[in-house]
Amino acid sequence: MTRPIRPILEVRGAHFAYGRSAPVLTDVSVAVTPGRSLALVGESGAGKTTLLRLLLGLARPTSGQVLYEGKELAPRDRALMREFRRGVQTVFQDPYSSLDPRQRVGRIVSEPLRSLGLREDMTARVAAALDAVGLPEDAASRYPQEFSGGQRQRIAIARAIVCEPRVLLADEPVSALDVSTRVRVVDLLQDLRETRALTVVMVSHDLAVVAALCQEVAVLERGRIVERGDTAQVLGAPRHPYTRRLIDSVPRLPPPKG
Amino acid sequence: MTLLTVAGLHVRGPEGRDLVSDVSFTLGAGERLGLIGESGSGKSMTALAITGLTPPGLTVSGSVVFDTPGLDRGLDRIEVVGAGERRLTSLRGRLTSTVFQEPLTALDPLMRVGRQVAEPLRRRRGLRGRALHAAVTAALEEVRLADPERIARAYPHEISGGQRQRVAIAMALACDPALLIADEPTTALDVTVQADVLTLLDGLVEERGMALLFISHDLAVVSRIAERVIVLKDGVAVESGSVGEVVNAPRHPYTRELVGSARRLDGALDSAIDGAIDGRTP
Repeated sequence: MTRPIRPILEVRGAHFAYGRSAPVLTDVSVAVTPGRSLALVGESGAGKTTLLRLLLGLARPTSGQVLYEGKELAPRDRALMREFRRGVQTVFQDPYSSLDPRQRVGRIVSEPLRSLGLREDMTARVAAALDAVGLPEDAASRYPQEFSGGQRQRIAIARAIVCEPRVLLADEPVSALDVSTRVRVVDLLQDLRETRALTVVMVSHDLAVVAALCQEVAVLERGRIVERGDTAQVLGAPRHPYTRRLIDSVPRLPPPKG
Repeated sequence: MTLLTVAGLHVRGPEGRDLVSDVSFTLGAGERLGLIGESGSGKSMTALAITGLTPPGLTVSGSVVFDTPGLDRGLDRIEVVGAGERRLTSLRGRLTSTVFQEPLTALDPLMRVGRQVAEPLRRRRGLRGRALHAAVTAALEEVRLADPERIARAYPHEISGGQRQRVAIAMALACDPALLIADEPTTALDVTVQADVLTLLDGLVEERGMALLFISHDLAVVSRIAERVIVLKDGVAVESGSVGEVVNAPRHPYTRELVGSARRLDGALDSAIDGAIDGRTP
C-alpha cells in the first residue's frame, strides 16, 4: 500500500536475530504515516516487541533499515538522533516497574527534557503534561507508589509527551489495567492523538483497544507480517487465518437483551 | 446441594483495615460462580480465605463451611476458619485446589513438569512407579496437551505460557477437588490462548461435575464461563446475580461502570468489524 505522505518512521526489509538464534523478524517493512496510528498485533513470540524496539532505536536490525523522516538512524549522527529522541517517545506495559520509586513524579516526567537539554520552562512543561493526562497539579511532588495503576500509566504517558513528540510507541499500554481504567486510558490516548497531533504505534493483542485507537493494523506471525491494512478492512474482512482466530477469541459480553 | 457456605467473611489487615468485609454467598456442587472486581477489591483474598491460605498477619473471621458428606472421617461439615494447619493440609486438594494467574511462578522452575504433576497424584492416590507414570501422562492428556511425554520431561521455561497454565490445571485437578478456584487463570495469556484455556476449563468442570469459583477483573471473560457473579468493590460485595441479570440490568453504579466499559470496548470492535470505524469509540 503506497501513501502519498512521507512516513515519519519506517522499517524497511528488517531482519533481526538475537545472537545466533533463529530469526525473530524476517523481512519486515512497516511505515508510520502522520495521523495514522498503527497497531502491531500478534501472539507472544511473534516479534511485536522486537519490532517496537527497532522503531525505538533500542535495537538495530541485523539487516535492513530504520528511518526517521526518511533518514536512516545512525547512532553517530548526533543531530539526527537528538531529533529522533525528541520526536519518538515510549510508554511501557507495566506502570509498576517503569517508574523509579525513589523519584518524585515531577522529576520522572521531566526526565526526557533533561536528557534532551530542554531546560527552559521545565516546570511549566511538566505541569502542562500532567494536566494533559488528567493528573492534579500537586502530583509532581508525590511519589509513584502513591498512585493507582491507571494513574501511574498516566504518569508514564505524561513523561512520554512532555517533549511534544510526534510519535508515541506503546507496548501493551493498557493490558495491565482493569477494564474500566483501560477504557479511561484509551480515551486519554484518543484525546492526545487529536490535541497533540500524536501518532500512536501500539503493540497489543486486545483488538477492541486496537479498534478504538488505531487506523491501521499489521498482524505478525512468527516474525513475519502476514496481514496489513486499514483497521476496518483487516478486522472486517480478515484474510489470514490467524487474524480470524484473533477476532474470534476476543471475549465479549453476552448481547444485550431487549 | 450446597457445597460451600461463606457467611460474614471478614479478612482484616495488620492495621485493622478490612480487606474483605462481610462477604456471604453459597455455592452448590457443580455450580460456577464468578468473582469480579478490580485489583485490590478483595477477590483473591476471599479465595485465599476459602482455602485457609491467608498470609500471616491477617485476621480472618466469619465462617467458611464445606458440606461434603463422607469426605473426612464421616464428618459432614468442615469449617475452614480457625481450622488447624495440619487438618487443612489433609483436606486441601480434595476440597479445593487453585489455579493461579501466573503459571511461571506457580510452577517450580527447577523441577521437571512430570515430577510436579506426579506429586499430588502420589500423595493423594498413593500411586508409585509405572502406575504413577501412566497417571501423569493421563493427567497431561486430559488438559489436551499434545505430546504429554515430552511435556513431562520439560522444565517449565521450556514450554509456552499456555502449556504451563494447562500443566497448572492438571496439577489442580489431580486430587479431584470438589471446588476448583481459578484466580485470573487467563489474564497472563494471549487472547487466542485465553480462549482455548477457557474452553478447556469449561469442559473439565462440566465433565467432572466440579464447582468452580472463577476470579477475574474482566466481566466478558467471567460471563463466558460462570452462571452467577458477585461484584466486589473495596472488599464489599456490592452486587450479585445471574450473569444475564448483572450484565443486562446492573443495579450498583460500580457494576454499571464495569458493564459500560466492557460494552464500549465491544462496540469499538464491532464498529471496526462493520467497517464503520471513525477513530472514536461510540
